[in-house]
Amino acid sequence: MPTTRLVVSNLKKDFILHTQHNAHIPVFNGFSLSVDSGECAVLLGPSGMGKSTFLKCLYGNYKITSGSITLYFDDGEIDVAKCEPEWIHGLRRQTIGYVSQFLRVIPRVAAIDVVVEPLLMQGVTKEDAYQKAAVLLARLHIPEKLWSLSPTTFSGGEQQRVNIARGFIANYPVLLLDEPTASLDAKNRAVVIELINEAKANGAAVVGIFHDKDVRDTVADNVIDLSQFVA
Amino acid sequence: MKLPIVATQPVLTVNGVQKLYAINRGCQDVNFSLYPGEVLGIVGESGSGKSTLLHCLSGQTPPDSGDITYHSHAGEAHNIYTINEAKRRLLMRSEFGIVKQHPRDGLRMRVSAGANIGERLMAVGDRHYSHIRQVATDWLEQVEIDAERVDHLPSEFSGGMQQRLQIARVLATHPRLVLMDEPTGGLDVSVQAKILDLIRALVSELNLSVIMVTHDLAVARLLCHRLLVMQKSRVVESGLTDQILDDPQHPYTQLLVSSVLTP
Repeated sequence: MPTTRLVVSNLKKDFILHTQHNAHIPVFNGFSLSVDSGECAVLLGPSGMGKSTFLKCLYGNYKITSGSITLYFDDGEIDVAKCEPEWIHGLRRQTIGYVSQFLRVIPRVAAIDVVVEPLLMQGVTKEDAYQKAAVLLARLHIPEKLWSLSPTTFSGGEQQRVNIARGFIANYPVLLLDEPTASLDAKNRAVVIELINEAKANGAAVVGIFHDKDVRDTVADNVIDLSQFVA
Repeated sequence: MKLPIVATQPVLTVNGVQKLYAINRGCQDVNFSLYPGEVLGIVGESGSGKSTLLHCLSGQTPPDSGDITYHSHAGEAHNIYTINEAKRRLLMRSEFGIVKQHPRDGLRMRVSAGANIGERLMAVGDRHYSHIRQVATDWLEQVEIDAERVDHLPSEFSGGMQQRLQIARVLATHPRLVLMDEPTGGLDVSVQAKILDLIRALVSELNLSVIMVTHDLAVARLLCHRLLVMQKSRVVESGLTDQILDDPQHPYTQLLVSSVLTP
């Protein structure tokens, strides 16, 4: 029997831009969603609707205006919207992986070091971590000669593949994917679909945004149209 | 899927700290806890009270009111201003480290680089000369200063080298809590980059808890897990660094974030 891992309840998000004439931008309201382990929920909606904003709220990157985001563990539950910062750190270390739409490049950090970081933070030995990273980067067709270079000079697609590798390396039980295949060719899109299916088979609860209909149709178990929650 | 493991014992708890020099000059109403391995940034513009707060936290300036409690590795809680002077000095020598903005303020310019590091080791009881010299040389290498310069005076070093030497001197005694005041202020960008990378590596390797004052949001983004945003003596916003910089709530934080070139 599938276990419910994530329940979003009555989520409301507004932006208030104090430096721009106190512009009040409501994004969504009354958003509710439930995701089981092994399930992939996909958000649908036109550009600017709030899909990425929603994922960022789940990750604790954006503050929510009201509502709750509850994660159900075997041994307890946490509301991301209300917990203390050190708990969000803990969640990001062990529970929630996030592949953002664009890689935020930290200069002077080698691609392979970007990818191993989640494993090192979980206490995996350097040897094992680098080994796993190498396998994943090779799978995503990043040439070995690039592994020791900073992604600053990589193409958009290469940067995104580094980002994807970092998101998938640690087998997070909850995965947030924001357009992971947008800059990729067919060959690499196929790899990402494999990775998503493997994660689901491992019991991960996945929430994703995919503009590509083929990818969506392949991985989605549940499609949510965000426009019904537009504020 | 199990609950994440989160440290429950903080390294430092700060309650209701206030130190005011005039109305809204200084710091007031400051409350937070700092956990092992965490880097807390205190950001805000000049005069916001950041350095005043840092001085209170480092044991250098007693606040007018409030408590600052340090929790040692052994689990003992020390209220740093109610313990006696001798105990506080020992704490500051062995468990705290303070990296000052101007390395000249944190180094002894007239003794050698090695001696600067060695002094700290001797102050916590190390007496074995060749051990001290070895540790000092190892630290110089860690901060990328040529070990051959162990007997040179810091006055012969460049600003960046002096700052790295200060960091080595502070870390040589394995403090649990390091306080830094604008550690890269005034340095050239390439030098700054080197020092930031060094701090980043050491924080993760040594699981340091750090409180860092900076006015540079890019530095805050790179190094800090959490931020306190100060304006006119008060903390106006606090939370995860990425949340504060990507989704600032308070008008002042929004102003700060929109003012920088690349936050």
